[in-house]
Amino acid sequence: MSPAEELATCQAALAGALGEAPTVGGAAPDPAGAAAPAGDAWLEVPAARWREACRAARDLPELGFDFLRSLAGVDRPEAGRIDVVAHLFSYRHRRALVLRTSLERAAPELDSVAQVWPAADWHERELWDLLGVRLRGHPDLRRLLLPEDWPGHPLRKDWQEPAEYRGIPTRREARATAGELAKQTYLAPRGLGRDPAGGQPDGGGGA
Amino acid sequence: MGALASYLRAIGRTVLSVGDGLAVTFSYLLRAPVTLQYPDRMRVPVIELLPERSRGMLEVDLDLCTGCAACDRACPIDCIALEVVKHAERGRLIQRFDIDLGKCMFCGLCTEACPTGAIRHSHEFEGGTGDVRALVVPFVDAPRQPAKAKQEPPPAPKPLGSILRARMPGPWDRPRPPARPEGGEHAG
Amino acid sequence: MSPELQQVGREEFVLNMGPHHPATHGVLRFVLHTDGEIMRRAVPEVGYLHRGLEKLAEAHTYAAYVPFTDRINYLESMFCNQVWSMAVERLLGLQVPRRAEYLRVIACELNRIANHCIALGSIAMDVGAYTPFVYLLREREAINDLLEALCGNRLTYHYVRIGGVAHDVDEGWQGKVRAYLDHLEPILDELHSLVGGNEILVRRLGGVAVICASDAVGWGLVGPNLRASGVDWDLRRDRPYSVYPELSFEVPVGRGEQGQVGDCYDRWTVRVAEMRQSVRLLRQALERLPAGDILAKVPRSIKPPAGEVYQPVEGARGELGLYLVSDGSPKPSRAKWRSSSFAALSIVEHLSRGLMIADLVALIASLDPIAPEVDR
Repeated sequence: MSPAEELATCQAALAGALGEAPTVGGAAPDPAGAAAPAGDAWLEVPAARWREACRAARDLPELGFDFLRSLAGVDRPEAGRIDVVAHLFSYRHRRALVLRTSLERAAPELDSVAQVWPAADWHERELWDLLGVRLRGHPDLRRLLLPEDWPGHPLRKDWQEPAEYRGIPTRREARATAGELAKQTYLAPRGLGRDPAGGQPDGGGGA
Repeated sequence: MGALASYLRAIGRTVLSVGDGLAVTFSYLLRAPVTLQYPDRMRVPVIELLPERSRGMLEVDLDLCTGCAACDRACPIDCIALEVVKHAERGRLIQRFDIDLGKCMFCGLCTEACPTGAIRHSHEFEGGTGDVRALVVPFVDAPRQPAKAKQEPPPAPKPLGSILRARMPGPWDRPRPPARPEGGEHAG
Repeated sequence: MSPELQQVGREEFVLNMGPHHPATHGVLRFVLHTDGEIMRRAVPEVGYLHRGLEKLAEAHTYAAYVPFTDRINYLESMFCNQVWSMAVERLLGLQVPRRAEYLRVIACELNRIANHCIALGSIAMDVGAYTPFVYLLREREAINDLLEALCGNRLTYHYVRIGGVAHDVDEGWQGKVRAYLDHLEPILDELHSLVGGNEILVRRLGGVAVICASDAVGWGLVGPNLRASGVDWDLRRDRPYSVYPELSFEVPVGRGEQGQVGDCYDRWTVRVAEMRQSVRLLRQALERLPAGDILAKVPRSIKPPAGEVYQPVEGARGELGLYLVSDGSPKPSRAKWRSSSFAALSIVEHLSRGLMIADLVALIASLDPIAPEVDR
């Protein structure tokens, strides 16, 4: 089957399960199947039907998407949306699908699919951690990568890195200029590096 | 009885398979060792064993640098600080060319961008120091005129690493203990 | 049972394993809830190595991000380079010269062998056999030398570029690789007598921490971990990319030689068998290496049209995926790395119930997770 036919099959099957057809987006595959499209096409479902759609994608025999490759969030501040993109794969049919939904950026909330694919557990924690999407019904929604008290969600486009975190500066001190350097570093009497007498002031290694 | 027999068989298999493994280990008594005792018992310095493409610490030959700042733009992490100023009488002057080797990730993008080959990776790698700021290497002492893109005759190429070593004293300037005279000659 | 004994087991002992522990493969921590030696659950705590590589992607141009991909996973940098390049090439619609594709295969398969050397060595080391680790490190050193001669660095290669590869190879280098492969094959047999067939290792790994196929798929395990569970799947064969369709190789699958399908020993044997297949692939690729360019004509400023791709490759640990969104500007709008270690670690809590602490160590080692790849 060509990518276009595969996408149409998935769309029809999901439409049967949800009662409404998911919309096709992205680089629409060439119907003739001659040239590979520049990017991936996706099926978009309303956020309210997300869990239902995911369950159908996994359970319907003609879909059978048993492998959740990745679950990613995309921040689109200009549209005021955060998109959630699931990359699915079916080992049975050897077919991939991109399932997508869009959330209100101001208060993004989505049903968790950790019960559908256990793999979603950590991906959803990351989604909360880095993009601030709240997952309803997630078994253990804690931050995954950042500390619990980290300010904000860094993968939001408007996130600003704070100057310090708990008194630890987040940036290295400004670069020394060449002039300062000559005064400060190995040439200064700090005992580092070369000693005019040819000894080994820092006692390091070589002996 | 069956349990005891399988227990004893397992012991037998263990002894035999451990013997198998030890035979391999012992065979290494007769093979040439592959380890080298770095740094003090090297027959040749490691730097001479490195392949030609090896990306060591950066150095800049200012006799070639045109001050075009292509390297500065190519560097993904801003480890190059290049300042070119306009002087009323002397024209364009390179005022500053510092490389922060503590930040550098040795990707080589700057050397690929450089049109004249002024910035290049030496093979030097032994830059250990007690102060991270000592890894900022200034290559310009006083403001100087940038080189022309095409020079006639082209300046003599400097040996790889010599510019850096003149700028940044490192462990290589410590007296080296003599190589162990006997034995110690391991294949690389 | 006496009342005192019945009380035993009601209490829970919480033990921290890591962040610095020889068996944690990088900086990661497990909080063990144990009842004596038996685990109630082991909760992985990750994030110690989070460097914000996905956020950094939004601040760099496509070409300038390639060195960062080296740092996603220091044991399979070549694959990270490759998946980034392939994703951008797909967005640009760029055709890579055949010689470059072959060189990518050669570099990646060498990287796969080096990675498996570390994986096998650390499995052996974590269950108590230190010597094989040193022997395998020696083999990996030789590959590091070869790759250093090829691309200039020993770990952070920056070799696969958008549109091709950075450096060409000469006959001398190919000869060195062939000589190394001739040297490696007997070493793999030696590895079996040294440790693979060792009864102690077999007992420590056989039948331990079995992952059934449906769990492996559901939790998103990939690569050797998935194949050890009996799922016959390899992207190189089943969703072919690059020049893999032109090369012949087999996909080893776990058969439960020393216990059950999907146990730790299967994860060991699958990796050993994969090293042999990589040797086979390398020999073919060296033989067929065509002449030609190594880099396609890439525009000076890379500005892919708006669109998004998900690009997977079969890395040393299995499917390494990159979801890349372009908005038409010179910098990516979003990059998400789907790493195999991420999935491998997320299954640990599920599997840890009822395991002994020592078996947990064997489980973690046999899953071969790498902390920087989890945290990114």
